[in-house]
Amino acid sequence: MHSVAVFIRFFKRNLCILEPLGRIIFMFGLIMLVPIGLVLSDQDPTQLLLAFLLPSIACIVIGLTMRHYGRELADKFRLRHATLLLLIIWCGLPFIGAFPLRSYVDPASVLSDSYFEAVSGITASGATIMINIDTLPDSIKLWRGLLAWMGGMGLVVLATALLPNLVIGVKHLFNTEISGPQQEAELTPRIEKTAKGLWTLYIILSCTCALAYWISGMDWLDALVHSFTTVSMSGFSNHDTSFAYFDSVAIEIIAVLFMLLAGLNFATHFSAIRQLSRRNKTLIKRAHSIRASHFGTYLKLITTSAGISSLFQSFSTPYRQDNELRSYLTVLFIGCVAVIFALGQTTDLNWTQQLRHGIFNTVSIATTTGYSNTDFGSQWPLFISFFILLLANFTSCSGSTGGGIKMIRARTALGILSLEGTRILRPNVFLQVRIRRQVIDNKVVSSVLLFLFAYTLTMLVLGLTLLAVQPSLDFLTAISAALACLSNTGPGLGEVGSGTTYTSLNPVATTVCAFAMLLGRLELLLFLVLFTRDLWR
Amino acid sequence: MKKIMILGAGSIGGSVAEHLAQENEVTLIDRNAEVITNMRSRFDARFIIGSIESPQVLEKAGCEEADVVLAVTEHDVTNLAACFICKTLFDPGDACARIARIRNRGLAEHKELLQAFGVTVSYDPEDSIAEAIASAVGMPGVSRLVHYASRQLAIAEVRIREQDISSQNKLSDFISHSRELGYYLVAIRRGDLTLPATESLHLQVDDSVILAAKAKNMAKTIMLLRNEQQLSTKVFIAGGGQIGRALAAKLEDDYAVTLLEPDAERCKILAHELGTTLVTAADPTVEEVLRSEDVENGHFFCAVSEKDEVNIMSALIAKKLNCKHAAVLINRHAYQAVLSGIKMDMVVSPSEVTISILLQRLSSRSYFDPIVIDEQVTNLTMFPVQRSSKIQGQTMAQVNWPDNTLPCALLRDVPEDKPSLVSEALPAVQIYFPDSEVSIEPGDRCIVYVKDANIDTLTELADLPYFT
Repeated sequence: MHSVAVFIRFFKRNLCILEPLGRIIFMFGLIMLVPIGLVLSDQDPTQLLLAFLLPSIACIVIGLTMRHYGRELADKFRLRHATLLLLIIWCGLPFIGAFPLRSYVDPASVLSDSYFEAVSGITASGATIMINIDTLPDSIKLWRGLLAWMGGMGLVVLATALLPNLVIGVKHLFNTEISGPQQEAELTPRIEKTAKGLWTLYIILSCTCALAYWISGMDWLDALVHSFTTVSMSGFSNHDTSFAYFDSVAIEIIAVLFMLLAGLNFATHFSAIRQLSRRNKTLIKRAHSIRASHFGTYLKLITTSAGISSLFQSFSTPYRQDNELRSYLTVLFIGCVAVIFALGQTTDLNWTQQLRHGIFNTVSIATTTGYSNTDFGSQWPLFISFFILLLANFTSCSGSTGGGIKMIRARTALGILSLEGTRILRPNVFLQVRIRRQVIDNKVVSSVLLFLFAYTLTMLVLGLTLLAVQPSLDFLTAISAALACLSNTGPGLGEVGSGTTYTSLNPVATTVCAFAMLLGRLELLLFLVLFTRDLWR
Repeated sequence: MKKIMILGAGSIGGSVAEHLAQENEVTLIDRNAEVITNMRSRFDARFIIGSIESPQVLEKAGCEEADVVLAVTEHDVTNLAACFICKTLFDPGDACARIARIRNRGLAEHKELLQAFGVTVSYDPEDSIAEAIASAVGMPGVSRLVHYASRQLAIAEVRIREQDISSQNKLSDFISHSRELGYYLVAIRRGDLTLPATESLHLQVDDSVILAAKAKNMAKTIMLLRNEQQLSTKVFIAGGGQIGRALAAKLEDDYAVTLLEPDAERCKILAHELGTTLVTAADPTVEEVLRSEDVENGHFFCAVSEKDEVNIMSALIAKKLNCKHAAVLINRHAYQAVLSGIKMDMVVSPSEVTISILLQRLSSRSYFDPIVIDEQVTNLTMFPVQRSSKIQGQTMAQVNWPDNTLPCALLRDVPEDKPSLVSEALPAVQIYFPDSEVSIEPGDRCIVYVKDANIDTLTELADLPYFT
């Protein structure tokens, strides 16, 4: 009885999340209508139509009702509610998103499997439990891509961009959803403008990617879905064999390029483009001041070498000032070289295959995307595939769509290590962790250490749990599944490797994996809130 | 939505930013990382940590695109430098308004010098606040006062007390006098309602009367409305900071001013600077102190120290001791809401003063002047009458105003006979109230009171292109 009372009180106290929650559910319902356009091409349209239409209409109705009843309470929204809301939408929306998928998974464990697939989509992990993906209806393929695409940039960011004036507390949500230790400064003075800017950038990147895929030979659905899963670093593919299905160097180069771009901090892209447009404006102004009819003058100004170099200068400044960019590229480069070299030593692939397989798979796994153009899990020696899976834990930058602990945290941790080394020799020296001259605040340093500790511990506990709930698993499968899910990479090694899927896991184990993906996407610590007494009292 | 840069996140910068961030794109810069971190979670704006005298920081903050730059640090030189940098590096076309907080009197009066530094408007919050309180001391019972047309027209809100209500107190008495004394009753605020002032209305306790009058008649009009005789000329000032000093200097010629300041060293300086003011080294929150200073017979108690808590407590004690009126200075917005239930005659906030100055200057095309009355925001709006406007050619009484709009006054520039040689003279303005027979002409400026701050219908009526 007591616990029921606690729960009712808890519910009453947190009623103010109704309005924002309603908004997000409403938005989700609308997006769910998109795949309906493709339903007709299937042989059984009615069943599919219902599979999308029912949850979508339910979402829209529930969303609108919640908004209606929660309107007056919305101004009580605070940080604690923001945290709660974030947990609810990230754990709850996959249930709705899983609805259309339920007829295409193992009938013995519909609930856990479809939930796993939806979570894997929305957290942009890309671990799949479906077999024979090639035969899935087009609408389902698109829905998987859409799930990944929405989750990649963040559901709240999307909601803020689409539905302005969300709530005052949205700022808290925003910072929790965008990955990385802390945001140094706001990109724009208004949060909805930031959200719109980020999403515009994201959409442009996706469109360019889709266009490039289409030009180099994919059909339009493949191009669209793969562009969605590339820029969101999800790694869902429309084919069981992933990119090996296309067997095209051009497509692989495009994929690598866009994975590299999506692994960067989106804030950096954002400020680069803004700098460019600013510089452009000053050029227009100057052209105007030289001659009254300014377009010709503007063209002349912009085509001179000085004009081009000044434009390039302003465009590249944010990239040059990015704290992670250099380490990110260096790690990837060294990783690729090492993998190619090791492949040459241990396998009998010819050098073009070494190059193609080495670069593509390393970039794909290290950026936490999870595509493959060869079954590296079973064909490569274990140490190489394990090496690239380890890279996935820290390579992608903060503020990107990738997962893991993020490059900035890894750099900070490395900085602490080197400091400790110096401190052994000079016990009284006063030192600060720095990344490229910038001093890292002590608060951030300790939170990074805490995060690393929590991450490692979670990984081990998850691996252990997987072994416990399904004793038939071997150690490699269990630990790599935990690792791949927690870092939102997708494919692991062993039975869950790139050539196979997560089907060999039992329902409990898949639920554990789904939970691991959510943990990874929301950067662990948010879940601690659930266990604080403060929230429930 | 304007792009506003606020340089300096002190008490004024912070509260102004918080207020403006609701409607505008605000970027706030301060050197103090701790202050910025605290504010970051409070409202939605862009926060930048850095020195405002640094061109790099200003560029990063997007100074090039700013519509308004507000330099409100405590140091004149820093504010001047920031304005100068903004003007020289980012705004050669002089498109943006730069408002600087300048404390030094001599500097503030030197317009050309300020212009050379790129300052379009200078203001001194302490002095503005002292001015506002000083005018309230002359007109007790006024909770807000707004001036128009170079201080020739005043619009005030006056609270009605129990003793102001006499038996036959119908509004018609006041309205019948209005023509000869040159004032106009705009509206009565009763609770949440705003009622138009009609002759049949009776005044009730706690009503607020919104009143437009020529500035020189305002004090007399208020005396008429409030059943008041001024018995005492004792004015007490709690707190000897910048505001206290400025206030004492303004009042000491007409009133018997006592200034209470706990810090003895500060008192020594104040006694040196001020004339007839009695500077007392005492804590204004101690009841015994106030009693011995004879606050019981006081006319006005002004609590203007730097600490909000001290101001509130000392004013409450003074009120309890039967001091006639009290004015409280409050920095923190939250405290104002708390005070709304307690009958203070005047609650002043530095950020409101700053914002009202800012809003007047935001752009030449904006005629807004919102005033905050209690918690409800109500707009006094001034707009120019267009040639295409539907209201021109009618008298103010004839115009079919929207339900939420009440006319206050009409301002008409009087054409000057000869080009004036003395530029300091006030621009000649003819003021008409809505009860006059004058019809509205293009080029006039119309002041209206909009109850719910929603000007959409008004915009349509007056055909104002820029309010959309």
